[in-house]
Amino acid sequence: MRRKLLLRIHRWLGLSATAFLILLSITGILLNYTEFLKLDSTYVRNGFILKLYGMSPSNEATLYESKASKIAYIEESLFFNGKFIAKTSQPVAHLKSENFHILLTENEIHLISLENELIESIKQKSLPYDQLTAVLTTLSETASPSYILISENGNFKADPYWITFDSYEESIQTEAAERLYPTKSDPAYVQSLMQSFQGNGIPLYRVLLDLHSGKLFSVAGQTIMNLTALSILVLITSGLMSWKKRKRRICENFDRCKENAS
Amino acid sequence: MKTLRHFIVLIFLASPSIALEEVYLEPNQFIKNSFETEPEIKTVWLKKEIKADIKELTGLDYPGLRIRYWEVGNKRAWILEAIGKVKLITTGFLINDQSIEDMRVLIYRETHGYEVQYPFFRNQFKGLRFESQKSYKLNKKIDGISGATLSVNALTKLSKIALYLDTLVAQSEN
Repeated sequence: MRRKLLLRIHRWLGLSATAFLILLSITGILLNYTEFLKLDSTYVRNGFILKLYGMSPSNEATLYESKASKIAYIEESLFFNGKFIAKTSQPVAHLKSENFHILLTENEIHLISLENELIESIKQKSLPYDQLTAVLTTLSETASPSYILISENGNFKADPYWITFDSYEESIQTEAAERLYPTKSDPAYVQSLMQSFQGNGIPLYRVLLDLHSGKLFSVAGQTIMNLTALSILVLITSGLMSWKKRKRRICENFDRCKENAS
Repeated sequence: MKTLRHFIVLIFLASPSIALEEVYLEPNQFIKNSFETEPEIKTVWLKKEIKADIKELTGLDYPGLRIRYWEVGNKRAWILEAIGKVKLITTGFLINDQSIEDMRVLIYRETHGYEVQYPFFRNQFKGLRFESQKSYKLNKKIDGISGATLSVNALTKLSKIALYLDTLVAQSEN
């Protein structure tokens, strides 16, 4: 390989990898002193970092008040009376039976005890529909009302324990449509919810470790760190090869000089 | 050189948090494949003492108070979830007479560690059972996969939960 090309590869690869090599070195050294630097007891609460770990703080919150309960939906996280329930889709309706609350989102159902404990999350894959559009209460002479779940895939009726869902073919005589309507925003309440959900944040040790391996930025980050590691090998090889070629050229010139002198 | 620069720029432009949700097998399909006849859907309630047992057995605070399972005779299918590193892994267990007959990773959301879906790993779970119902110790060791340690741990813990719950259900039905 021509020395000029080798030097160009060496220069461009070196320049491209510089930032990542510095990052690898610094994070590596810091990780070696985890206990001394108290990295595992220092927490990061930076918005960008929290977002990368799926704990994004946000001011975009929708609050609902229904049947004496407070429901909050903050960036795909659903909260019920101050408790985190699940990462889910937009809530559609809130029902209350004698024994539990039923929170219906666009594609999941969450059963919550009267003490605000999650009983069960019924995921989309276990439901007979893709997206819930409305929940209707049917006219009933009995004490407990029955609910019909309306979707593009058809109408469905749950059993009293919300375990199975049967197709509902009958014509619907509705009493009322159950629907959640947003109430006015309450930034202080949203802030307190997010703080309780995120805890102290992410340990600095974990962030540095994921930064070192590139895993913090998912597949792209890992690929970059792998390429950086490979670039070290290429840099060593191209450096050694061009040094060898330079040495040979100097020697050849030196011999020629010696010949001219004699 | 231009190509190398373009490649590096492209990697940077790639989204930093690629959200992957790989559905290897639909949960409904897993249930269908597990039984020859239509199974009965039942639930088990996670009372305080059961939750405490699960915590002691696996170190996990299993979310929720109710878990559903599908049953035909002594055969039961369980669909359980646990976090591998940061995302949930949805897993199906088919248990026959308190011994795992099949384990399938149904939905995998982590960016790495997906090797746990392959038969060479899954097959280790076949025949897995508790040595005795008192100790809740597994009759064999599940070998790990380098780079997928957290996912392997999560699935091993889920297998313990499935076997524990299945034992409870079997005891209550007898």
